[in-house]
Amino acid sequence: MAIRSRAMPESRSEDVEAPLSPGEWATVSEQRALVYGWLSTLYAAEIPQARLAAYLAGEAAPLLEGFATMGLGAEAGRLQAAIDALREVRDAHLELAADFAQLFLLDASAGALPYASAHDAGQGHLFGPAEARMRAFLARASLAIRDDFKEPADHLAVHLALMARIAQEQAGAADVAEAARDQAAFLRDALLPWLPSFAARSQRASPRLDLYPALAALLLALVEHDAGFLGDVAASFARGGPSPASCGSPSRRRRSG
Amino acid sequence: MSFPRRDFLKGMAAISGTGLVAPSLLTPSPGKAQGAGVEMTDDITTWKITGSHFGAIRAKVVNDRVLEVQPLELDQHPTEMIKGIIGLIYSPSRIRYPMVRLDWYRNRHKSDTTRRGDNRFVRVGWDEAIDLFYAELERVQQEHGPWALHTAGVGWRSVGQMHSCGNHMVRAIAMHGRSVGTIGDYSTGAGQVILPYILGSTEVYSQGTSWEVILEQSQVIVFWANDPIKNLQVGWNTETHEAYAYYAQLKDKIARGEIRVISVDPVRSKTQNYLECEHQYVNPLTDVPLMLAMAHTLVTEELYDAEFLETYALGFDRFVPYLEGKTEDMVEKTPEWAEAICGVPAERIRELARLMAGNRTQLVFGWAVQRQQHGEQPYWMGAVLATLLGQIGLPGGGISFSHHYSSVGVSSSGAAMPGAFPLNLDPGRTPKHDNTDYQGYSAVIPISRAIDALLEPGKEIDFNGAKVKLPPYRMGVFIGHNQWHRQQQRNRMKEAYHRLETVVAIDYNWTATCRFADIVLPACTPFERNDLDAYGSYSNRGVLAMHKLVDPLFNSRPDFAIFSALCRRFNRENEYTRGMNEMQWIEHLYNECVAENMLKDMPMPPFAEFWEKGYHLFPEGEPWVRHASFRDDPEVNALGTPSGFIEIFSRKIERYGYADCKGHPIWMEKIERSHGGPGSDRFPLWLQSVHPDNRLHSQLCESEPLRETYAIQGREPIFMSPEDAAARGIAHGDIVRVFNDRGQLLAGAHVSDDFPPGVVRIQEGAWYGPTGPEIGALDTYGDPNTLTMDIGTSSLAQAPSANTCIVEMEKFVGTAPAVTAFGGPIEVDPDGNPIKGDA
Repeated sequence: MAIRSRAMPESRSEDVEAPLSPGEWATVSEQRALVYGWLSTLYAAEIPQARLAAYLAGEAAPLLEGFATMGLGAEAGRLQAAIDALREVRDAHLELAADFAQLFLLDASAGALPYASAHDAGQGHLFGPAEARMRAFLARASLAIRDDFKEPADHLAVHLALMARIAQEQAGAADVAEAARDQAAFLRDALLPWLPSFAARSQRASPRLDLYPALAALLLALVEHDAGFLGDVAASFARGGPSPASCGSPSRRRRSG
Repeated sequence: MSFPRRDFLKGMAAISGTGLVAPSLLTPSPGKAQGAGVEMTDDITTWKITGSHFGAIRAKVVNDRVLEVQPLELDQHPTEMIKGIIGLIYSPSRIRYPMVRLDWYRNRHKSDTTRRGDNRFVRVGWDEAIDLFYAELERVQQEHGPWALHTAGVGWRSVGQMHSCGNHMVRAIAMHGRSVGTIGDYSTGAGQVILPYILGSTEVYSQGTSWEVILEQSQVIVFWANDPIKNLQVGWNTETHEAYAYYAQLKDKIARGEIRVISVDPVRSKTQNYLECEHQYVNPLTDVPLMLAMAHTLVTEELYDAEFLETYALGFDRFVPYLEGKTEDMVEKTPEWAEAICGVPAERIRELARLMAGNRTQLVFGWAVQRQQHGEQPYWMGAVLATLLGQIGLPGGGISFSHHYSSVGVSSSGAAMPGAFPLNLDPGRTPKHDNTDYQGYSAVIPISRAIDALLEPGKEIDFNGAKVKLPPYRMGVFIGHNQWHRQQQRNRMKEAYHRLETVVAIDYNWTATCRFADIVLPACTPFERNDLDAYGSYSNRGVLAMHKLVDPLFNSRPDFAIFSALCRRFNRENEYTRGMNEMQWIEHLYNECVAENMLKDMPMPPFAEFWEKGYHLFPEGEPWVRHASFRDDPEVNALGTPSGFIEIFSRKIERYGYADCKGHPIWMEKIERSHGGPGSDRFPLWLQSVHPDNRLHSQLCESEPLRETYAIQGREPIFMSPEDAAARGIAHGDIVRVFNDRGQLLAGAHVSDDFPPGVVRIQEGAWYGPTGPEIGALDTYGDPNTLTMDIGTSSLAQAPSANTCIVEMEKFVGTAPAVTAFGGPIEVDPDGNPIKGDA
């Protein structure tokens, strides 16, 4: 059984909007970085008790309403409902921690391993080629994983943190088209090949609470939607011709997945 | 249709700064490429060296990742098992963080223990995990005392003398307080207790006659329930596999017609198929009647060695009346009597007896026949048979109980091997809780009676001439073994575990023992730490360096670090470590070994040179004959038996007065038995659970690449005859349900001509994966101990009786539940069907 989000609107060259202005790109890049950072945080570790209190106080509501505005109402609503349901749960932070463990820390048979290698067809173990590619990518980018995060480089939270970082770094890119293509390529090559499998396993596992299954559904929808956005931005430049400053921007495209 | 860009931008605009984002996992590291290390070439001699039960290996390690494993160039007969090592290190079943079962985390020792096995754990940091472990030890010692803490007997811990995990656990716990320990093991429990009465030593763990001698002198070799070609793949210390060279020579001798080799076994073994030797079928569990009838022939035809009996053995006169039918069951043990039980034609029994008496005959027993109810008897009777033949102590004659184990039969170099991290308290030291009051309970129990202790608290049982009062311990610490693999009768275990308040398990992969624990601590694998090991458990071929291949993965730690931290809680860390770190210990153990070998005139290089090269080898030893010195002079070199002689009749055992183990070997019907035995009308198939061919007990079962080579539809194979398969409409490759009154499991049908009707095999060590924590749950992978019986062999040894087990099976129809035993990335849909590729 595969979880697929809705049919993704594909951008077509005869039907695109005008190129994005550098200001618009900068703003949305910052916002996208924030979204990826938020997703990375949720997959890096259990939700601490204090932060759970913030969720219960409605701190995620603007975020989720924003996603609804984008057209991801079903996924955002499901997650909001999952958060609201926690109010009735005794020791919700502990139950969520046990869900986190069952899904991501114990094993694949009971959950959804958050490693690209675990979703590689024909790959019998962790630390597979996907992990090696990600490590090489980070090394070339002079990036290191924090010492207290004791996970392989192909962990979902690392992918999301990297995407957040790239979006942030490229917020001021002179060549917006290339930056968009670059980021779309990262999503397509490094994340989207296995994210549907991960999301599907998150649905099939039966944790006690719906928060993590709901989050996985939202994650997949967001990433696919973001890829669609990036493709649309790149295509709009292709129709409108190269952007004036493209020659000054070194290519950042790196194959990592 | 265009991308709804405006909606996207509008939605994003609603997202502003939020406190919900933690600092990034990524930090800039200019100039520091993570994981960069020394590049290794394809020149294998530049690769790192380390050891394992499966042999010495070299590993290609690039950027802190093990890319390839090859046998050490010294190993001429490596096992396929080393192909499982990478899968073991990078197994999806790795324990990645210290974990505490959620309900235990909430309620501590008052948790709902019926929920063990439901996969509800929370992650904790190391400090909190060790604090919880320590607090629980404190509670148990203060509230109850030493009878309430069980330190379960360590089994096949990973190799490495410094990091031998059992030593770390035993020493650290002993510094804190006393506990209930165990005696014996699951492999040779009956043999190691009975044989000291008969032959004066355990024999099962003794060096045997050298293969050079056997190949030169033996005219007949009988492998009795013994499959060395299968079992020699692994060794207690790093295995050299040197014994295989002799089996190759034996195979040639058989082909040339220079020797007769007979495999006595219900099944055509791997060894028989390799050697292309003769097969003697015998009904399961009826080896004793077969041997009694052979003895009967030797006596009635006066083929036995009267002179040998006179000089070296006691009790023949007490035994003969039993053969003659004048005592006990009052039945004469004729070949015709035996034929009806064991299925071997009477004339063939006579032939075998004559053949063995007329030739230099080496009997070589495996361990399987003593892992059954009354498992003492076949070993005792085997020893009696060898005594009647009179060849004990002669080159190429007599009896062995160990040639299938750890290259026994390869001559010993005589060199000293490195010692280990200390097991015990340092001299003069006492535990923090210096309490010796076990409140009348026994401080040591026979290892496989650990479940009885929980279910029958305070019960007094017989054991080896003593009484044991079973302590209903409240807390168990499990390390260096997989209790939920080796112990029999899963559903009984589940019931017993409901009575355990706290279970601590320390391992590197999520075994069932960990799934059914409360506090789970992730040790790193032996490939993630430096160590040294003996190379060759009996040949003492050399000393092997174990280079750390990669840093500990995830948040795992060496056992040394785990127990150092525990001792820090009661301010005795420095005493525990003696102020030395890992490499200082390794060098210390090496230098002690150097000093010992200096006295033997066997020089060794300085540590640094040894470490760089990776090993030091000693010269080959001299051929040797077991029991030859006893035969030379039985007064000076008396056996370790009560009399100093071979005891066909044991007055000491007779005086114990046990109904199930009397003064000499006798045939006793089993509580259940196939082939016309008790219960065979309902459950007609004998289930044997032999040592596996593709792993070491339960080790490597979690290695996905290795398991793919033998599993059937993702299940452990059950081997069966074409006849039994056909009678049940089962085809090779089907999923079958195997069951009896004790449990049920799913396995994959492997139909093979090697198996006779009425005999099925599931190799022990298959990981337990029940559908749920409830008693009676279907095991989804095929752990045979779901079906085996948890009874002691007898009042003497109280050892496991795994091979006394009958079952029925049927083709499984419908949708099989998914395998829950592993962390493997095998994807299944909600109906349990495997998903290939993209989900």
